[in-house]
Amino acid sequence: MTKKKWSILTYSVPIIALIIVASQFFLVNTSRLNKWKGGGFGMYSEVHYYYNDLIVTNLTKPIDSLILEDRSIATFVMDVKRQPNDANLKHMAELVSKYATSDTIDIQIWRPLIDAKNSRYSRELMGNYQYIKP
Amino acid sequence: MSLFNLKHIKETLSDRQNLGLVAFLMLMIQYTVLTGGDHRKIKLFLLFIGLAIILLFVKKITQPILWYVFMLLLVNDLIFDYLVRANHHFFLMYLTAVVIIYLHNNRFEDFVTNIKLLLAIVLFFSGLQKILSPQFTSGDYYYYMISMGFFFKPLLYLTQDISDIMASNRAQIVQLHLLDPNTSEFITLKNVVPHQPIFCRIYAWLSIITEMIGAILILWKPRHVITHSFFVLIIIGIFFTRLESGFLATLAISGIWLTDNYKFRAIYAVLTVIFFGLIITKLGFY
Repeated sequence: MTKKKWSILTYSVPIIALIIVASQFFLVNTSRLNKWKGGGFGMYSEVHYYYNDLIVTNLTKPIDSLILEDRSIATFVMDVKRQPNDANLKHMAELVSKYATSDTIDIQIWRPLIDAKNSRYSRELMGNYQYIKP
Repeated sequence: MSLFNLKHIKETLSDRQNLGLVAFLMLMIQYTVLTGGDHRKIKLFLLFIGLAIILLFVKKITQPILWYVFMLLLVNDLIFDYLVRANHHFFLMYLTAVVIIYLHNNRFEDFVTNIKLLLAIVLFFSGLQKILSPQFTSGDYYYYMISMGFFFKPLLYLTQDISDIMASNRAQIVQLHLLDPNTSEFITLKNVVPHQPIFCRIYAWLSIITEMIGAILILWKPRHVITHSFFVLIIIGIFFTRLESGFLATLAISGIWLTDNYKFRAIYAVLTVIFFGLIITKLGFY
């Protein structure tokens, strides 16, 4: 390889890093991606998505039981907690729909809400989707 | 041969390319072994084939083949789990790429410039993401982490009273999470340290300012004593806040490559070894 080609390559890595950071900012702002992920160095800037709650209505069993029993649901739980956009909420609703007791399922993601001044801990709704069985 | 030959140690510390590369190789082996994931056996097979070729036949770690194997494993994980991988997975991938480029073109100055730019990017965006997070700037995030006992381990756990408060806070939160959030309201956490809300807000802004100044110093004066004194303080500060050993080892190895001062290189090397101990025992995060 020629010296000139190497000089083009020399600073390509920091440029790629900046492109990945920019794409992470885009996903965070348009697609509800949690700041911890996507290569944008947003770790420790907010509570980790692991502590988000997944709430699903009208099921034959609690969602926690289904997570233990159904592998397809278990493997998608963290995905929907990490990025609770409509596409992921809909996909989770489709996965749990076979356990539904009615044709309508409400699916919600709640995140921890902390108020240090008043030492309060509560939860706030960050994603909500109503799924109607086809 | 004496166990501690000072002349030999000094020679080792003076060769920053090799010292950094050996430390980085050790980190990459640990990271690959500990983050096997779904294709653990194939990854370990590839890793040990690569290592065996290098150690038995080539006998030098500057052979790019080994680093291409690491790159392949890191990129493979990223393709399948892009949104799952931690930020330091990206950082390790960038460092591996600049190592490969350096091993081909042998331009150490360009290599150091790349390390400088990457470190500045990591610190700057880490600070910026915090500024853009109201939960962080208000001190609420640090308040939560300290109240739950997730920060300052094991320091905060040395006092039984504090340890009990943190356990009680965790138990309260577990109970709240059993309730439907549509109907349940809130719980009141107990302060772990006096004036905790104010302390958390100050500590949050101190973190932001430290990261931003660190990024500026590394860009502006990458070899200066003040820059490396500050960078060592950042590493130690993160170490006492949270045992992110894998990320810290990556920062310390970058420091080895960046500094001209062999005393600082010795500090970075000692820190790297401590972090390795924490990674492999899983006392810290990898």
